[in-house]
Order: sequence, then C-alpha cells, then structure tokens
Amino acid sequence: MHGLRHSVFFGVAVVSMIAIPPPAQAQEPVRTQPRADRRTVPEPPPNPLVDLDRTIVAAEAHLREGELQQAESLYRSAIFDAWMMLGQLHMAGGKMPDARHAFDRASRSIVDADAALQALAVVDLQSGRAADAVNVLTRVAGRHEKDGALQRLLAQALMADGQLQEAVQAFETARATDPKDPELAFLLGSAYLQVKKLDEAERLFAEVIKARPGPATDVLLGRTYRDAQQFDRARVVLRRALKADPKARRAHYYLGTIAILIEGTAGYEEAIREFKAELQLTPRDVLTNLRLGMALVEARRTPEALPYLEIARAMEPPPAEAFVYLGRSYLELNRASEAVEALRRALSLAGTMRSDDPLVGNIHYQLALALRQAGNEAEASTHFEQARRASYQRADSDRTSLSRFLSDKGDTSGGVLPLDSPLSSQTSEQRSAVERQLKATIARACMNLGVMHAQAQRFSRAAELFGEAAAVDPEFPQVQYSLGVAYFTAQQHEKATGPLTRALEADPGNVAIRRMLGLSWFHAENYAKAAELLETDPARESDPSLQFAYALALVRSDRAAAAQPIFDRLLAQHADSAELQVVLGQAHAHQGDYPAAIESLRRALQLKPTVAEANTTLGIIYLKQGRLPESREALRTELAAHPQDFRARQTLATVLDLEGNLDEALVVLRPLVRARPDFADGRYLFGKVLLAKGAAAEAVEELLAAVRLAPEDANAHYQLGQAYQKLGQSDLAEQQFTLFKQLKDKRR
Amino acid sequence: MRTAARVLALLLMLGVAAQADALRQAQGKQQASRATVLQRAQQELTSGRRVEAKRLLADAADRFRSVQALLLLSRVQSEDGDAAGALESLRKARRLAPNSEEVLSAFAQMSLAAGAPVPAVVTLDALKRMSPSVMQYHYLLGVALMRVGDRLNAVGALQAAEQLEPNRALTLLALGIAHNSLQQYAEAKSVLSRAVELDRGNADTLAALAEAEQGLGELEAASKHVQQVLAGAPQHATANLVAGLVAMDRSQYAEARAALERAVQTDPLLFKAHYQLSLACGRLGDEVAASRYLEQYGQTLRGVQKMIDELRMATGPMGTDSVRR
Repeated sequence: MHGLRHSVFFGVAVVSMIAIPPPAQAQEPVRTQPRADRRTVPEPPPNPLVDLDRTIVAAEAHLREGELQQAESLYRSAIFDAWMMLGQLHMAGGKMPDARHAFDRASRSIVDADAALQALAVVDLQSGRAADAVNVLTRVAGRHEKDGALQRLLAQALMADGQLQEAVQAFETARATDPKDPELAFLLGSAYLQVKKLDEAERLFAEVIKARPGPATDVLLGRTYRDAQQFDRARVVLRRALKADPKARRAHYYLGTIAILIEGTAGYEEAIREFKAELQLTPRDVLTNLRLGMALVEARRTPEALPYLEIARAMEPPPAEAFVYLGRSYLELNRASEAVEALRRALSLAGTMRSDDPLVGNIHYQLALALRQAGNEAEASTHFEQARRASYQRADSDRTSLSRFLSDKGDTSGGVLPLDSPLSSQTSEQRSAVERQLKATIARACMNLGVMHAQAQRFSRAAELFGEAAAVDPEFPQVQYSLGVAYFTAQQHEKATGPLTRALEADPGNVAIRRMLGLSWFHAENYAKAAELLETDPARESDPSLQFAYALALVRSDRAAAAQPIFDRLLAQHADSAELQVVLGQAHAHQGDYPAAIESLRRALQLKPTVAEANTTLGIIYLKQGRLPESREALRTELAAHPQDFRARQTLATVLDLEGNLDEALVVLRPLVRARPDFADGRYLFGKVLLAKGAAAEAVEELLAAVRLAPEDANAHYQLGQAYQKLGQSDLAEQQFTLFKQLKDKRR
Repeated sequence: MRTAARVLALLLMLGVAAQADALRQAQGKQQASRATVLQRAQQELTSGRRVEAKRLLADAADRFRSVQALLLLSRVQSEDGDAAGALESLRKARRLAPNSEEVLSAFAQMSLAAGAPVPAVVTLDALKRMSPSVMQYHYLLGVALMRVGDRLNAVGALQAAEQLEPNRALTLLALGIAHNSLQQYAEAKSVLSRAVELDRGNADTLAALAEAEQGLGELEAASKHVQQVLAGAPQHATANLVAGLVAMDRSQYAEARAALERAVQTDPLLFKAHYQLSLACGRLGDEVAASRYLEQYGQTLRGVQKMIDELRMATGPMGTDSVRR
C-alpha cells in the first residue's frame, strides 16, 4: 500500500499521509541510469515532476509505436500521480474541497487506487465528513485485513463518526493481532475513554507508560484525558510530566486550555500564565501564540494580545480565528480600517464553513461593527443581516467560540489524524507553480487519451476526457475545440454548443467552428441562433445540406417567408430530393397550409418511401384534421422505419389514447419515457393513459414528474388531481385542482 | 528498445553524432520489425495457419513486449478453445499495461468465459470506477456478480447499466433474473415484460418472466409462457424449473419431479431446483432421493458462499454490504 508512512511512535501523527507516491503501477517510467550504477553515484533528491514527465514521454513513445494499450496505461498512471500530488498541494494549502476533488479524480484513474481512496478518507475525516470516510475505508480495509495502519485508520474514522462501539471493536480486533503494540494500546485506551470505560482505559494507559515511560507519554495522555473531558486526570499527568521535565513540550499549553475549558472566563488568567510558560520554551510556536493572543483579548488585555496574534497570522494555512481576534483587537483599539481588512480575511478563510456556523455569524457581526466604525453603514447593515441569519447571538459568542477552539472540537478527526504533507513547507507561490505544471500534465494526458478514443470512434468517451482536460486547464491549446468536436460527432449537440462557442470566441474567423456551432444549435433546436450562424457561411450556396439546414432553421424560427426563396432555389436544383420535400412540407404546415404540406410530403414519400419525418408530419397534420385512422397509419409507418422518432411515438400514443386503445398506447409510450425521462409531454401522456387504465399509483409517479418538468401545464395538474382522488388522497387532489384552476385563470 | 533509447540519449548528449545516427536507425528497424512480425501473424491467421500465427505473436510479445501481440494471441487462443492460454496471455498483457481499459475488459470477459467470475468481478469493479459512463462494464459486473452468487450487488450493477442505456433487452433480462433470484417477483415481472416487448422471441426472457409470474402466483400465465419456451427448447433449465414449481403448486409431484430433474440436468448449479426436487421426492415418498437432492442443494449453496467469501477477500465489502463491518 503505497502513499502511507507510519510514524515511529504514536504522536499526533499516527498514520502520516502522505509522501509523494511512487509511480502508480508496475509500469516504471524510463530511467536515465541503470539501477546498478546508482550505488556509486550519489542520487539527487527525487523530483516527482521529473518522474511524471518521464512517464508522459514513455507513453508518447508507445503511442508512436502503435502500442496504444501501454500508452493509455502510462497516461493513466501519470494522471493518477499528478492528481495525487495536486491533492497534497491542496492539503498543504488547507484547500480541503480541492484536495478531496483531486484524490477523488486520482481514485478513478487507475486500477489499484487504494492510496487515493485512503487519502480521500483522510481528507473526509479532516473535513468533518466522517461517514464518507467510514464508507471508503470499510471497503479498502476489507481488502487489506492485515494492514494494521489501515485498520486503525478505519477505527479512527468510526470514532469520528460517533460509532464508538464499532470503533472500540475495530481497535480490539487490531490489538488482538498485535497485543504488544503500545500505539494500539494507546488508541484502544482513547476509544475506551470515549465510551466511558475508564478502568479499561487506565489499564491500557498503564501498559503504554510501562512500554514508553517519560514526560512525552504523559503529555499525550494528558491531552487524551482532556479531549475526553477527564480534566482532573489530565491535570495530574500533565503536572507529572512537568515535574519529570520542566521543559516538557505542550504540557503548559494543555494545562492552559484545560483552565478555560473548566472555568470559562474565570480561567483566563491561569490560562495566560500557562501559555506564557509554554512560550518560554518555544517562543515562536504559532499555535500557543494564537491561543495566548485569543485569551488576552477575552481577558480584555487587547494591546498585550496584538504581538502574539501577529505571529499567529503567519501560520500556514492561516487559521480564520487568528484574523477574527486580530479584527476584534483592532476594533477595540479604534483601528477600523485594519479591523475591516483582518475580518474580511477571516471571512474568506471561513468560506468553506456552513453559513449558519456560529463562527461565520461572529465574523459577520464583528465585520459589521468594524465597517460601522469605518463609516461604511451600508455594507455594515448587510453583514448585520448575515449575522442575524446565522442566528449569531452576541451574548454567548465569545466564550463559545474560544472554548471550541481550545477544546479542539472543530477537529472532527478526534485529534489523531495529521495535517501533514511534505509540500507544506513550500511557499504558496512555489505551490502555485507546481500546481500549474501538474494541471498541464493532466490536461495533456487527458487530451491524448481523448484523441485515442476519438480515433477509435468512441466520441462520447473522447468528450469525457477532453472535458476533464478542459476542467483542469480551460486554456490548454485546442481543448475547447476538441471537446466541441467530440460532442458534435457524438451527436450530443446541446453539450457541443458551450465549448464550440468558446472555441469560436478564441478564433472568430474559423469557418469550420462557426458551422459546427450553427449545426449544433440547429440540432439543439435553437433555430434562431442556428440561422444567425449559418447565414454567413461561405459554403452554404455550394452545399445543399447546409443550405437545407439554414432554410429549416429559418422556418422553425418563424421566418418562413425568408426561407421561401431558398427553398425555391433548392427545389430548382434538387427537385428529386425527398428530404427537401419533407422540409418544404413542414414549412407549409407551419404556415397552416395543410393541402400544400400534404402534397409535398406525399411527393417526398414517392421519391423515398422511408424518408425521415414525412409520415410523422403527415400524422400530425391528420391528427389536427381529426383523421385519426390515417394519422395512426402514417405514424406507425414512420416508427417502423425510424423507431427513435419520439415525435411520431408521442403523436401515435395520443391518437391511440383518443381511439381508446390504451394498451397499445402504453406499449408505444414506454420506450419514450425511458429514453427521454425529461420530456414532460411524454410523462404527462403516459400518466394520463395509466390513470385511464386504472393504475393510479403508477400514474401519480409519472404525473408528478410531468408537473415537475412543466409546472405551468394545467392539464398535468388536473390529471394528477384525478389520480390522487382515485387513491383517496383528497387533500392532495384538491391542491392540484386549485393549481389547475389558477393556471387556467391566468391564461384567460 | 528502452535500453537503445537511453544509450541514444547519452550519445546525443556526448555529441557522438555518428553513433547516434546508427542507433536511431537500429531503433527504427526494431519498430519496423515489430510491425512486420504482427503483420505476418495477421497474414498467417488469414491463411488459416493458426499455429504459426500464434508462434509469431508469442515471439512478438516476448521480443518487443508488445501488448498488441498479446491481445491478438489471447483472442486466437480463445477461439481455439484454449481458455487457460488466453487468460495467461492476458495476464502478461496486464503486467505490461495494468491500467489499459482494453486489456482489463478483455481479461474480465475471458475470466467470465473461463468460469472464473471472481477475478472478473474484481477487474470489472475497477473498470466501473475508472469509466463509470460505460454501460458494458456495469452490465458485465452484474452478470459476473450473479455468477458468484452476489445477487444483491448484481441488482445494483444491472440497474446502473439500465440507467446508462435504457431498454436494452439483455440488461433487462439479467436484471429480471437477478430480481427473481431475490424473490422480488413484482420487480422482475416489470423489467422482464419490457424485455419481452423488446425481444419477443427470446426463450430465456420468456422463461424468466414465467418464473416471476409463478412467484406472484399467476400460474396460468406462467404455464403459458413455459409451454411456449419448452415447445422450442424442451431441455431449457429455467423453463423446466418453472414447470416444476407450477406443478408443485398444483400438487402434481411426479410431473414436478420430472421437470425439475430435466432442469438440473441442463444446469447442475440451479440450486433452487435441487431444493424443490428434494421436496417433490419427499412428497412422493422417495426419501433417499430427497436427501440426496437436499445434500446437493447444500453443496451448491456452500460453493456459492465460498465464492462470495473469495470475492470479499479480493474486493472488500461491496455496495449494499459495505456500510458496516
């Protein structure tokens, strides 16, 4: 299981994610030196980006050789590695949603993606999504039952998810395989503490102390007791640690937090003393500086707090609370503009929190005060309103939030998981540069995979990969164009319009893109846009199919008169074109000239009996004329030749319904609603027929879908009311009848 | 090949142009000879000289580490009925290209065909994760899970396949069979009726629909569909199973026994038939046969459980059983 590094002892980082992963799979990138030589030549520190480049180069070599499978496999490995590194970068920058996205993408890149799944679970744990972490880890740990670290991680996730008994069971199982492991004894003891089995916990902690005696162990146990709200026990072991070693790290710090957790405001002075004692040992410790600054603010010793908070703001990633307390301090010291700046930063850092989180409410409130002090009353009132919406109450805020920070309750991982990454030491500029390189690598690999799929005529798959490339790096050369073309060729015209629009913006003179976009809008039934784009196409006059599409777009965007001369020219040149006769027939029908329409459509069928849409259009015209048997026959003929013609299917079902042939109507409709679940008219008709057949419960399902898709359709509400009535749900029925009446009245 | 590339890079760095040219030519020749060998193998295949074709492909696979050659070799071996050889070629291909969809898909399908559903499930599970939009992977995963006996997760996989590509008769049939195996007869009937609409002449679909109808107590409809199937395929396992079940419902134990025996003859793994046979024999007073069939039923179930355990070892808990340990 690569990607995991186990720490020597059970400090805070029990399982420390994540070193830069080795290449994803058995495929090794090309090395410049044979392995044997490397014993004598000092090896430079590994550069994962260089390895990544090598993998891409190797993939491209396979591509040139025609070994597509090996090329694909290596591209996927490169994508995996790049996403893993991006995930680590985001973790180092505290961007948990981005890290989650990266690890998720990594987990979908290769076969053996357990490292990515574990990383995903760790991010979930650190982001408070313990249930998601449990789900992922249950599966991964199930595959690696003997991997103690993984089993422990699962147990920790279970703890964080509040499944304490399951967590205890998981730790007990792990410990049974390794009863002498003090780390497991500690973890199991911590779990026992959480389920209030104090005696068992004490017994295990005694084993831990025996195995690893010393103040460091006492400090760890002190923190664990504190987290389990066993404050007296915590104080005993922390003071024991200090007695054994007055310089024991963190003992004063935890004692300070305990003072506040037990006594609230009355404990501030004691806490301040302890934090200051801690800073005697480690003056630049940012967390202690932060907590001391916060405690001083709470104790109304604001001028004293500022230097400590200034040190704390340098933390990477910067914590929101440092800026909250800085803002409060500046506010109290009447430094309004600095307060506004600090609190705005706090708000942006708290961006990922829920809007009703008390901390977010607090920040809005403080910011509003600072803005008011700065004379910006208008913006202040906005933030007062947002504070109100977050149900922020000034009275209990400060102590609540301070206690929350001090008790580490915001740390949903239970304090046992690390936020450690080898990239955390890099500056944000360095991280940005690496991020750009990694994204370019992913885009390049995805583009090449997309091209491979396109060459194999799998255009939907190609579009997926081009889409991934575009999402990662929208400016990657040719990515929008490739994505648009793939969608266009896969006949996903609506989806093609976005990337083709962007490609045309980048290259406005490109006639081919303009044409494809015009045709995409045409197929997506946005005829006005299609006509606009095709109007100036230089190939239109020489390409009858293009001219035809343009004319049809004109007809369907209510410009039939403009289309007429084009049709005349087309007819003069292609009098024997069945397709052209169909469009002409549709144009006549659109203008209400049914006799002329029927003549054109019959002529089309004479020229080509299976020409698409001729019988559909005839069927629709006959239906409008009340000639049901002729309509039925025309539509059946159309469906026999073109079963995917949904307009023919829907119209035939309507005819069958009108004729009272409900069984066949259902048979005709079923494939339609399956294939086009978002087609409101289809769902409505299906529901209506089901209701007529007496299947009221099924009808409700369909009609609910219909009203959801087309809430303004009065008839759908009426039928839904009828269905509810049949099921004896009078209240619901009445609601629908009321809606029906309202919609009808609105139309009058 | 790779060694040549490394040496070439080194020579270029050192500015030894002449040697670099020579090596570049050698590399080109190697590429050409790989293509030539593959081409010759194709020609041999076209001419029906399969042994020679296989020899050339194996040679290309060894000399050039060619996955293309291994895939083609596996296909020829499979066509020649050499399932073990085909699987071994695909294993080699996987070592060279562990994340290639084509290789993985071929391996999964070959494993299924060779009666090894567990490796098929493991591979298809990964493919589904890597390419969730491909209907075929979900469908094959559902089929493979059914083979293993993991019916609950099979339903999930087949429903995903049906969502990705609605109204595909094969998917609906598999889904119907999965529902039947879970005694979800109303759901089974719903999907199988649609499958029948799409593919009226399919005996398997009709037989599965009959099984759903029997489960719902619609014995007349079940009998009618069973007769339709048996008229064309008298040994059809599912149709005979349903005929036996209907006969049991009607207390016609001798007819039930005859039909059920035909069912297990065709499909010895049809454990439901074994169980019903034991009941039918018991009713007919043949206790020896009854206990024999009961034992076979138990054996089949144990075999299924063993496969599920093997699967869980390989994949960890899946879908519906992954919530808690």
